[in-house]
This record gives sequence, C-alpha cells and structure tokens, in this order.
Amino acid sequence: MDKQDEKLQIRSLIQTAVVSWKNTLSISQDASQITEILQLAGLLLPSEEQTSLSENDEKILSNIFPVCKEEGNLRLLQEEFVRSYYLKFAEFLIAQLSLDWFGKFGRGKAHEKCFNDLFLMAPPKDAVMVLSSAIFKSSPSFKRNKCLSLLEEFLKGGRLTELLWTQCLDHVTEKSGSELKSKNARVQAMWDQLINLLATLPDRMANTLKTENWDIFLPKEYFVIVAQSILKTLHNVHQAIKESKDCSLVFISQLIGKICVCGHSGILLDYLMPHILKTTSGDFIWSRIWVRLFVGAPERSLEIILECILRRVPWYGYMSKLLGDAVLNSQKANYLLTSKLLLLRHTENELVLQNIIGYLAAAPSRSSLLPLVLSNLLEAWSDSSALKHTSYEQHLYISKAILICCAHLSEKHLQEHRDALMHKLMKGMQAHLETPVPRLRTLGMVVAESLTKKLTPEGPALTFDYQKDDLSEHLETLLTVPEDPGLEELISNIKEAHISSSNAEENILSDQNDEKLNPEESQEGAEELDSDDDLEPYDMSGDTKVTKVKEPVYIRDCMEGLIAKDNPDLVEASLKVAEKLIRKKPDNLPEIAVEFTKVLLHLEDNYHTDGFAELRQSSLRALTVHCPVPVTSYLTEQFYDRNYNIRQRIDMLQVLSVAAQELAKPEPSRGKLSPISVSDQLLPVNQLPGIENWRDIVQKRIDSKTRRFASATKKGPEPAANRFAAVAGHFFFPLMKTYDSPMNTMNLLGGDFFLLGRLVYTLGMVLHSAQNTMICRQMAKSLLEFIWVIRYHTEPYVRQAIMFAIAMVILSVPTHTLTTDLQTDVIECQMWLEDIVEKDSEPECKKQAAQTILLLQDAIQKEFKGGEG
Amino acid sequence: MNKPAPTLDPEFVLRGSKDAISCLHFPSLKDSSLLVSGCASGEVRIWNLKSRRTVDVLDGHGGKGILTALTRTDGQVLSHGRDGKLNQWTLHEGRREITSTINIPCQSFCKCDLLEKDGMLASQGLEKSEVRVYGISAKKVTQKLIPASQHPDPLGMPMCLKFLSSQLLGVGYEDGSLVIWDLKAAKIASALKIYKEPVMCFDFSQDLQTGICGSVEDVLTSWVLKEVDFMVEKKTDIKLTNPGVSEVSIREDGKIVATAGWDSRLRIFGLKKLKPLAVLKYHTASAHCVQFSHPLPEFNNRWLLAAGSKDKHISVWSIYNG
Repeated sequence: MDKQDEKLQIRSLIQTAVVSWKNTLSISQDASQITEILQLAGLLLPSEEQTSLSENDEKILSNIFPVCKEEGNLRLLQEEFVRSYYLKFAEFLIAQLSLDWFGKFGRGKAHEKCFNDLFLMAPPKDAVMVLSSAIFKSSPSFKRNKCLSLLEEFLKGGRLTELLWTQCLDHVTEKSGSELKSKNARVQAMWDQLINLLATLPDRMANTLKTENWDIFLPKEYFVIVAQSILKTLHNVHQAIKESKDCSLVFISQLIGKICVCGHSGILLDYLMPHILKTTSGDFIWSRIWVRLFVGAPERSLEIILECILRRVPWYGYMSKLLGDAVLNSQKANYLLTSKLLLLRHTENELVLQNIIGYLAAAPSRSSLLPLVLSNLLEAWSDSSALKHTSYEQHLYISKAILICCAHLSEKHLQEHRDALMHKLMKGMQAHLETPVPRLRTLGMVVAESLTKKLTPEGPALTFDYQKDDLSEHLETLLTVPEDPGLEELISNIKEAHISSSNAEENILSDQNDEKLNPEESQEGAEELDSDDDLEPYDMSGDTKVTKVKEPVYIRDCMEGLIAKDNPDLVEASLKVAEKLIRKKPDNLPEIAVEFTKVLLHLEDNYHTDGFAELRQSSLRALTVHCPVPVTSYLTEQFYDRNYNIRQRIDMLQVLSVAAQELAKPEPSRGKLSPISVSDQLLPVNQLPGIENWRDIVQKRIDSKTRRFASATKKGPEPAANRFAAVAGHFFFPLMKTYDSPMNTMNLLGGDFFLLGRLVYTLGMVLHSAQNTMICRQMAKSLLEFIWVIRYHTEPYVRQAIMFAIAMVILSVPTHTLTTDLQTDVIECQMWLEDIVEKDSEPECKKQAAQTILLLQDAIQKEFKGGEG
Repeated sequence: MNKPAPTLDPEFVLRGSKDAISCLHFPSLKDSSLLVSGCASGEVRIWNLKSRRTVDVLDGHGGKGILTALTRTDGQVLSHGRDGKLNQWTLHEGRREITSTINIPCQSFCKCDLLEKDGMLASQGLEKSEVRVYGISAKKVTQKLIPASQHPDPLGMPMCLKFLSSQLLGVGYEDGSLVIWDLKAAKIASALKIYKEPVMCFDFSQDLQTGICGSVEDVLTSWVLKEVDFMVEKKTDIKLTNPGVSEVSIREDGKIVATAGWDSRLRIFGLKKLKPLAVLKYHTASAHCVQFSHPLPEFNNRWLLAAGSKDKHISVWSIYNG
C-alpha cells in the first residue's frame, strides 16, 4: 500500500470514528461507555514524551484502527486527528457540557481527569481558543464554570509556555518554497488571532464575567503568568540556540508588542526587567535574544515598548545590551530615540532621558548622533515662540535633556561643535531672559550657567543672580554622568522581595511598631521630670524689639521721618508706625494724604528693611481707604505719568485693588447702625414705663411655666453702609483712560504687557469689590469694552488676566443684567472663550477658559431657573 | 501654686557708682549681705544690701576699668583691671591696702574665675587664644592652655571662662565655640561650635551638669556636659527678642536662669527647658552683668538678683522666691 492511500484510509477511519463517538456521547446514558470514548480520544492526542502506549491501550486502539499496528502509523493518526478533527470534537464536547450530562459520568476523579485531559493535554493553541471562545459566548452556568476552571488549570499548569514554545519552533519547520507563502499567510492569520486572544484575555474576561471575575484573569495576575511563560520559553530558546538550532522569536515579539499596545506593558516589564538585567549581565546570546524581541516588535508597538524599557532600566549602561544598535539599523527606532521621545514627549521620569542619551553616548558608533541631538534640543530650547507656546513641564524636560547631553558629550565633539552650540545658547538665553514667567527665566539661567561652564571651562564664568532652590540644585547634578548602581544588589533585592515580600514586610512593620512604642514611653517619663511647669511666667508683652530712635507720634513727624536722610533707624521706625498713625484718622489727614502718598510711592528700600514692601503697601492702603477720593485720583493720574518704573506702577495697581477690597468689606466696629433704643420709641400713654402692664404680667407668668426647646435664634449680620459705593468710580474709570497712548517710559500695548495684565487684573478686582452698587453695571460694560480690544493678545499672561476680568464681571453683575443689557457682550465673550479652549497653546489658559465658561453657564442657568420659579 | 505678682519692680536700686557697672559679685561669706561691684572707671565698691549704702570704695587701677571683682573666703577682695593687674586687697576696720599684685595681661574683656577650694584662678593669657591658670597663693602661672594644635580652626580670643570642676575649665571663644579643657591632661576634652558669633558668657550648674550660653546673637542655648567623656551636647535653644547677652547666671537651686541683655532688659527663664518666665525692665542702658545671690539670712533666706548696667545703677530684684 503506498503512503497516500494509507493516509486516506486513516482519514476516513478517523472520520467515521469521530462521528460515531459524537453520536454515542450525545445519546448514551452509560458512564463507562462515555469514559471509554473519552479515553480513546485522549489516546489520539500526541503526548510530549515519546513513550509508547501501554499494551492495553494499544489493543484498544488497534481494535478500532487496525492500521495503527504498523510502526509510525500511530503518529500519523494522531497528527491527522489533531489537525482536522480535534477542534470540532472539542467544541462538540463543550456544547454537550451541562450538569446533567457531566453528572452521568464525571463523578469519579478518574472520569473527570479523562475529560480534562482532552483539553489540558491537547495542542495548547486549540485548547485555549476553544475554551475562551466558549466562555465569551456563555452565560452564567455550569458550563462556564467548568470552562473557567479548565482555563485556570491551563494557565497554571504551564501550558502557555508550551504554546509559546511551539510557536517558536513552528515557523522554522515550515520550509518548502512554494508552500511557504500561503503557509506564511495562514500562520500569520492564526498568530494574529492567537495574539489578540492572549493580549486581551483579561479585558474580555472582565467584560463577560463582570463582577464575578476570577482573580487569575485580572491583569495583575494574568500578565505575570504570561511573563513567566515568556521567560521560560526564552530559556528554551536560549538552550536551543546554544545547541545551534534555529528558533523564531517573531511570535513572542509580536505578543509583547500587542500586550504593550493594549496598555499592560507595566505589569509585563516590571516582572521581566530584573530577569532581563540578570540574564544579559554576562551572556551575549541573551542580549541578542532581547534585542531581537524588542527591536523586532511590530513598528506600531515599538514606541510603547521602548518607552517602558526606558522607564525601567535603572542605569543607562544596560541600554546597549537591550537595544543593540537599533538606533542605527531601524529608521523607526532612530526617529523615536533621537526626536520623538526627546522633543515631542515629556515625562517626569528622568531615567528616560538618562537612558536615551546615555545609550546614544555609550558606543562610538552611536555617539556621532549626540551632537546632532544636542543641537536639535538647543534649537527647540532657544525658540522664543516655542517658549511661549509649550508647557513648562515640556520645557523643563528639554532643559534636563540638554544638561544630560552635555554631561555625556565627549571632549572631541565638544570642540567641534562649540561655536554652533554657543551661538544657539546665546539666542536661547535672550529668549529666556525676556519671558515674563519667572520660573522659565530661572530655568534659562540655570541651563545657561551650566552649559557655558561645560562649553568654555577656561573662559569667564557666567553667573546669574537667582535664588537657589531644590530644582536648580537638582539640575546641576544632572551634569555628572550617573554611576553604575550595581546590578547584583538590584537583582537580588528584587528576587528576594519576590520570594519573601509578605513575610519580610510583616516583620519590618512589627519591628517598627516595637521601636516606636518604647522610646515614646521612656521619653514621656523623662519629660515629666524635665519641665519648668511649676514656674508660672509673668506677662511678657512689654518685651518688644528695641529701636534706637523714638517712634513718631504725629503723622507729620512720621512723614518727615520717612524722607529723613542718613537716618535709617528713623526711616524704619516711621515706616513701621505709618499705618497705625493713618488708621487713627487724625484731623489733618485729608490735607496731607496726597503728599504722604507721594512720599510713600517714591520711598525706596535703601536700608533693606524687613518686610519693606508689605509695610509700604499697608500704609498706602490705609491712606487710600481713609481718603479715597484725593488719593485714588492722584494714583490713577500718576499711573499714566512718565518717570515711574514698572515696580512703582505695579505698586499703584496693587494699592488700588487692596484698598477697594477693604472698602467693600463692612467696617468692623464703626459705621454700625445703632439700634433704636427703647427710650426713644414712642409709647402709648397707658404703657409708660413704671406702670406695669397687665400683658407683661401675664406674659411673665406664662414664660415662667413654659419650657422652650428651640435654641436661641442667631442674630443676622449687622447692617453697615457700603463705603465703596460712593467712590468706586474713582478707582475704576481713570485707570482705563489713556492705556493706548504710548510713552517713552511705558507702552502698555507693546513691551509692557505685564503691566497691562496687572491693569486688567486690578480692574477686575475693583469691579468685584463694587458688586451690589449702582455703578457696577456701568463699570462692567466699560470693562468688557476695554478687554474686547486686547483679547487676542499674544501673551498668555494677558489672556489669563482678561479671563479673570470676565469671571469678575460674571460674579459681580446681577445675573439678569448679563442676559439683558450685556447680552451681546456676554455672548461674544463666550465665543471667544470657546475659541481659547479649542485653540490656545497654553494649557493653563485652556483650563481657565473652560472654568470661566462653566461659571458663565452656571450664572445664566440660575437666572433662567430663577425666572421660571 | 502662688500666682506671681502682677507688677515687677526692683526691690531696691543702688545708685552712686561713678561709671558704668562692669561686674558684680555676691561674697560667699556666711551671714553677710554684701555686694561687690566694679565699674568702668576703675573703682570697686562694696555695698551693704541691708542699709543699701556703699561700705567701701577700692580704687587701685589707675582709672582703668575693672574686669572682675571677687572675694575670697578670708574676706580678701580681688580686683582685676584693664591695667593688667590683679590686686589682692585686705580690708580691716576702715583700712584697705593692696597686699599683693599679680600681673595678668588683658587683651580682651574676658573675666577671671576663681576656684577657691583649689586656689586656682583662670584668666586670659598673652598669646592669642591662650588661657592661663594661676596658683593664687604662689602667684604664679601653673598652666598655659593654648589650643594651637589641638583644634582644627582658629578659635580667636577667649571671651569668657569658668571652672566647671577642679578638673574642668570651660572657655567660650571668639569664633562661637565652647571648649572644655581637661586641666589634668592640659588638653581639650571636647569642643562644640554653638554660634557663628563670639560666645559672650556662660554659666554652669554642677548639680544638673547643665550650662547656659549667651552670645552676640539673639539665641540663648543650653547644653549638657556628659560625665563620661566630658562631651558637650546641645540641649535646647531659644530666640530672644533682641540680640546680645552680656552675662547669664543660674540660681543655686537650678530652677531659673537670668540674662543681662544689651537691650537693657533682664530676662528670666526656666533652666530645664528655657521657658521664658519674665522680662525685667528697669535700666535705661544696656545691662552689663547679672548675678544671683546665695540665700541671704538678712532677707529671710531669699535669693536676690542683682544687675548692673551702663546707666551706673545696680538694680536688685527678688523673683520666684517660694
């Protein structure tokens, strides 16, 4: 008989057998018969070990399949069954699965094992597909539970490793030329299906099972199992390569890629990373394996894999072992590592930067990329438009990258590119020094300082006067290349932690508790002995700071003291009492208020007085509050005068806004409307005091016998006249007078945008202080008109100020006015805000715009509801 | 608990000194109520606290200011002046004569300290940072303590010194360090840098092994001396309203400590935790010295507190007496 015929014969034999089995299984009531069939089917599954079947089994088989008496035919038989019939048969079995049917035979352990083996010993890829698709289709039932427990056993029993391993070999065995293409396509389709299933299993499980999900299918556990299987498989691969056998890593690579794309990269790589570091530490083959795995992953998952690795590798020295020369070989990797991850993405994790740049610098073949990268980074860093339009975090990230680049840059490259880099740096420095945002300015100074130090170590050192803080110190540390943290410790730590994490933690915790308890007790004891509590202190309020000069008592003396020359103590003392004296409201205050304001406004901090700015501001505020009209008209006039610096103008605005706020608050003690006293009330004749009224007597008697359970009613806030209402206009309108006429010393619409922003903020605050006054509506209208002109200002600071002003309008003006008088303005504002939310480059602006819109909508909605109600 | 009196005024004030008071001393003689004061014009005055009158005036330093005025158990008075002399006076029924003189150089304003039972007197030396110990009866230098090689940084001039025991001498230096000298080994036993500015004064309670330091700064610091290795350990510190402490004094019972401040105020603190207890305002110019007395029999065994100031007055207070 020739081979082909034999095959055909076998096929038909199996077909008839399987059909008859199916029949019997669905009809039969006999447990032993079912078991027998299951056992038979089990025998047809190829076993891993090449043990020959026992005689008994062989006999049973040859009864049904006489062909398999011949050597080698059994193998053919099994292959045929697995290839063409197993899938259907397994699906049939699961379809049959129900409590009744299973109860017929599955009582015994042995019987159950027969059934389970049909899945657990079967080719893993088929089994897992059958089981999972059955679960996804099922509803809560015995069948589902059985499938779930089978799948769990499948995962726990290490069948996944088997699955991966077969895929590694599978691709290699297919060789013949003509078949290759169609086969490849078929395999790829099957792989896609399989990878999809494996990567999304937890998600789909959660979707199917909802709240009844099993622990093992949670991503936390499932992906650890996957990672373990991958690791075991790779160990096999490693062994095979050592024996110079061929293996394919494409499947695993794709699987990792898919898992990462699905967002579970963290769990997977957290598990794998220590092992990766450990295996690559001495072995070149391992290093090759990982390189192939990571770099060979599909392009769309390359980015996420790279990012995960970069985040986790503790020291840049390991990077070459994991990536090889990927940056030179792969276009995509090159783009990711030299451009995208550095320039377009940003993260707080500094390891990413250290790893990328360290990786680039580590080998001579790659290090030529480094000057290029640095040049690109500097380009981005020094772009003044980018500075304005990118977020601070991104900018910080780029700055860090520059510093780290500098640390890694070799002397040779440095020499070559010094001039170009210097040129870019200078350009960038200028852009940074011009920015209105202080933290960007500081960042620019720190980077420029560090960079010049590195670029021209022998040249004059560039030093800026900025406040050192944690950030600047940290940035400076980036200039040194990090050292190898020592792999041994790292790995052993991780391994031990894996093994005895729970135990150790408990121990540590209990230890800490013990330690904590003891010293406290002993300390308490000591403290009781060691106290001065038996001595009662005297009044020490008189213990004040000593000043060498007498404090001025009269307001004119105080004013003169402030302009005294060469007497720092007097100036200080005068400044300190100024507010107190003004608040006493001496009679001559109105006549000297303007002059006093002038003195204070021009006062300079020549003696570095503590809290100079606050003292001066509070004095000015007191002046403005007590003599609002003359002082505000003076201040608003001076705001548009020449011969002031920005600082002074900001002071004026600040004073106006704080004074407005103070005036708007009810005065605490004075200005109280005294309640009308009883004696002033007109009383009817028969109720004159002295003569007891019968009503009172009755009331008293009732009161004495009544128990009241209600608590005393609270007194409402005391009414007070709004002091701001009368003067609000003086604070407001003059400030908007001549904003658009540029002067030599101030150009609000040009370079002095910071002042413009402050002006808008101040107007907003004054308006808010003026709420509930008659003039408020008018002010709001003017303010909206005012900001309309400048709303497309290029500086985010001004835009934010405008949004603040709009918010103040919404909050201050009665809501019905918003929907009537101001309707057109409000609608225009809303459109502008929406525009900002969509298009603005500054995330802060967007956020604020969104909030302002919410505020507006809320106000309008309330108004409509109120109207309906 | 007794409520302390609401008003705080001096018991009495001693007026009559010709110049700013520079030092005060309560003689440790039994049954006496005397007070010795030194002033910037070189006079040493002995006051009777009961009659509140000057008993005696000793003028032996040629108009140079007095740094230290002390008494010995036999009634002799020691006065150390800026003229570089330590005079030993014998007072007898109206007579007062200088029985002996030791030349003690004075570079700085550092006061001397006398350890009566061992007959030792410590004072500043001629060289920079040098401290000398004299045998008072032999009138000779017995030890020169020079930190030169024993301390890494230059310490500067000694600003204040005090015997902590027969074996230990504490010295506060210009650089803000407090150094404990072991006199037996003539070595530095320990050193602690407490301030950035000079240590102006300190006092030490043997019972509690606790000391208090004052400085030019506005911080008062307490420290503990360990008996084993004589290490000084900082305990607590407290911020004063105004900077500058000229002298501190711990009361014998170890409960309270008084400071004389450059701001003319005296401050009282609890010794153990430096809890501020009182501020005594009387003087109109910076207070130079402050001393607690022993329990004085003529004052119902109360402790008195005397303070001398630049305004030439000595104020005497009674505070926290039971």
